[in-house]
Amino acid sequence: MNDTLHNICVVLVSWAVIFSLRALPFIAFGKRAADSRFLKATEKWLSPAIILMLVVYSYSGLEWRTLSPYLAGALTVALQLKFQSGLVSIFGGTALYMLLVR
Amino acid sequence: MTKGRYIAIRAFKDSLPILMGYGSMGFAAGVLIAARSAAQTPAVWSGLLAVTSFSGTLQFAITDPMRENASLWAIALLVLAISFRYALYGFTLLARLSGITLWKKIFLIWCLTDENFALESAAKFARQTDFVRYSLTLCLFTLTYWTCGCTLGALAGEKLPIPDKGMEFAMVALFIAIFTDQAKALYLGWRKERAS
Repeated sequence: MNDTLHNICVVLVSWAVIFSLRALPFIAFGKRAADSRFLKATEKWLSPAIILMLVVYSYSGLEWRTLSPYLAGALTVALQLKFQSGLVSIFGGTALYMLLVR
Repeated sequence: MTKGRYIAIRAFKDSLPILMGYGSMGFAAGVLIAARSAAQTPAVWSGLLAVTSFSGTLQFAITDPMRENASLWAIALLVLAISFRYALYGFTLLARLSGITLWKKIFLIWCLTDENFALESAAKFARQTDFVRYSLTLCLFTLTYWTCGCTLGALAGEKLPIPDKGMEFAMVALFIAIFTDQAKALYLGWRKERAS
């Protein structure tokens, strides 16, 4: 297959798979969902659970065998608890990590 | 200041940490595609992938299969495997997005990335229209950051100066900050329940 055509197909296939995955709950549940007690109950827990999963998952992309990301993570939590501001905690944690891995 | 403008400004402020993350990660992904792709115009493919799929893991993972002319079925399977988590995100937004205009819904689903999802699920608005306005603004900004990052990175190509090491932590820190708030809210709620 010609390269350009192949690349176009790659873009389309990726988009189609990803968009379908993202749309899946909306298609599968539709209107019933709005007043589903089950979903309201799970929303409380599911969302923090997924975020926690993302934290764990994203650590695999860092230098997770060293202490650096954990120290930076701890600082992020501490700053967030103290200042309640995403900008402060994210910049603080990232700055520490950048210093540590340099 | 009108309420709508206030909400848009808040969405922009919340999107700033993502600018750091998407800007640097998109740039790195673009550089990777430019360095490895056989295509003559890597910036076009990098930008197209960014604006359609809008996914960091995809942008990095697709580089090699794209160059090697891998079969489309193999690519579909790869994308399915690395992107499966996206299917979970919509569940928590079902109620909050029910009944809104179709194109808005499609755009928000289109933009359901890890970071957008994290901010949207943390956002508290009493009225649905406010939440939707916030999310649309947020997604418009982040999609722009990502697409620009990926395109510029590919344009810079091999002539790149080494990206700032450790910058990728911004993304992780965003998740951590959001989780901290959520865990705190859950803990406080639990304590209140126990006390009463």
